[in-house]
Amino acid sequence: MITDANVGAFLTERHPDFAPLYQSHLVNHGTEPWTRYLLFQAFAREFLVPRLRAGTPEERAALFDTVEQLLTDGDTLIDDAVDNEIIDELVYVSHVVKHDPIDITGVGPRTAERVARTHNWRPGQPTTEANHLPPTDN
Amino acid sequence: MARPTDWWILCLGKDPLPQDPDKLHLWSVLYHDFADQIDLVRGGTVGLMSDQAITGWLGQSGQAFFDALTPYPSMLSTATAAYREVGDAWEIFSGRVRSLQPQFDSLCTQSLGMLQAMMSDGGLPEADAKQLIMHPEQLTGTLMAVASHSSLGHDQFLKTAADKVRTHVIDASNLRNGQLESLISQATAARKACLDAIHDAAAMASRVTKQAGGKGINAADFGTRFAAFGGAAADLNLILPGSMGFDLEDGMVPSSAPGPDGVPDWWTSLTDEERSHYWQSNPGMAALLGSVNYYTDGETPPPVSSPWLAQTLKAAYIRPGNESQIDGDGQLSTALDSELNSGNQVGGKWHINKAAGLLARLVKGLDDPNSDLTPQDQIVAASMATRLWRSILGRDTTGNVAQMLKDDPNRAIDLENTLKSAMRTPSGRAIMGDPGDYDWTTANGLPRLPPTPPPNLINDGGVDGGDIEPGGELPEFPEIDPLV
Repeated sequence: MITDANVGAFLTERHPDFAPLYQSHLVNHGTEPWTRYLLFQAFAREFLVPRLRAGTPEERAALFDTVEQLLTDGDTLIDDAVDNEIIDELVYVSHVVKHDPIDITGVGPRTAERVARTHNWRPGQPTTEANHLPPTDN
Repeated sequence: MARPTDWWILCLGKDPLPQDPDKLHLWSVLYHDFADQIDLVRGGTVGLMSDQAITGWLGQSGQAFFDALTPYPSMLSTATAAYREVGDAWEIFSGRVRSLQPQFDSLCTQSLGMLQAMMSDGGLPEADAKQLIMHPEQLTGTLMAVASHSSLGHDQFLKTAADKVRTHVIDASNLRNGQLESLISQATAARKACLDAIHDAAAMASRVTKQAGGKGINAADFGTRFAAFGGAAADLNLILPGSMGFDLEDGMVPSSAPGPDGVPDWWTSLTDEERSHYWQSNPGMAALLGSVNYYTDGETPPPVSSPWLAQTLKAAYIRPGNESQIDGDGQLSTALDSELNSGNQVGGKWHINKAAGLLARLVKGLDDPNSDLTPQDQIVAASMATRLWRSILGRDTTGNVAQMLKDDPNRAIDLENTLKSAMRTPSGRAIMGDPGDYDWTTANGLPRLPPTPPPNLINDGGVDGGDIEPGGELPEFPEIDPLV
């Protein structure tokens, strides 16, 4: 189970080059549980996205696997933070930005389901199964 | 009669005019007396210079004696004028303080009376009455929020007491906006006139002391000569108020324009030392800065200097989704408002835990001496924290958010712990209140005002404006913004 207590170790073991950014996060925001949103924000915006854009296929696969692992093995707090920070960022860089969007083909099934849910959501609608369909445009 | 001390009720950090008018008058007398003594020496000097018995007897030396004395009467005359000017300034300021202080005191006492009336008319605890009287711009919302706190009972409060309380709040607000503004302006003018007079006097005295310490026939060894005529050169160094431990600037006057609009100018105009003083001595400072809501209006984070704050603020704005995916300004607080109001997620996920986490980070940063926040940054951080807190306190209309939290105890516990942790910081306490002010027993992590027993009489059909069903919608109050 990935929790607030071990998520830092999880990320830095899988991605040693994330360690400096993680240290910077600890210095800036500390270790209290509610800083998890800022941690995943930094991970998504400053680490994940640049490497998805410029990384090798192996690097991209490893990153997608990390996100999938977080959604699979994370507790509900980790799940919520990943949903709010990483999934939102993936939807933004792959579907919303007009200039040079990132191809996120190859994400795991849970990640794909969350991306679809976020992407297909519309104001005023409750989240339903219909909203969980994969995105129809890119 | 003792003067009031609860200046917070006028949005003042402390007594706006703490000087003692009797002491000021005494100072005036002392300065005038000293001016008179110098003038006596001047008269003696002129008498010696014109005494033929002396100058004639001395012959040529008599002329030299006359020449040596020549500059002194003028210098002494200048010193006399300087001391008289300071004495006059103290006397005028003393009169202004004597006139203005009772008016400030009366405003403070009247406002406190209104606070007491709100507590007795509305059956409200002091904390709720304070919240109402200090935030008239949120009057309707706060009335709704505190209704269940009233000893009259929720429904009875809204039917019979809310209008009285509303009147008290508006009266207090009018006092602050009208008379207080005028008094602050008068006090500022009086203080400035006094300081200007002292500045002029100090400049005059400075000319005397420069001459006294100079060389040449017109100024050499003035001290010795002055002492010979019964004076001491050191006495001509004008004794300024600061050197006597008297702080003319004492007293906090935030702005000539009370209310949130005046806060930024006042806060940024202070020195670092003054800001630090107010921050440490006034536990409500973060709430005052947080009242500047417009600092965090809009769809993008306001510019800030602090790197950690800049990063934190990014989390306060949701990444835009597909067309119109996020309603309104795209802020996290807006998403939370929407979720509590509609019972539907925004963007396919809930945002309550994230909002609490961000709020906690902001208030802790405000109290962290190492966070390197500029005065502007402090206002931005407090403003965003206040915005998030107001959203978290919003009414869960459908109960869906509470149910989601109840179904996921992990998230409920996390929410409660995060909010309580934030409230334990000084800034968090100022903006959010004390954990003990809220009811946490619903096991969903949402802070709510403590429940009161249901009133005995509902649906009595006897009160205009309609009855309130248990759990039903509250009646709409017309929105009044007395600050406009």
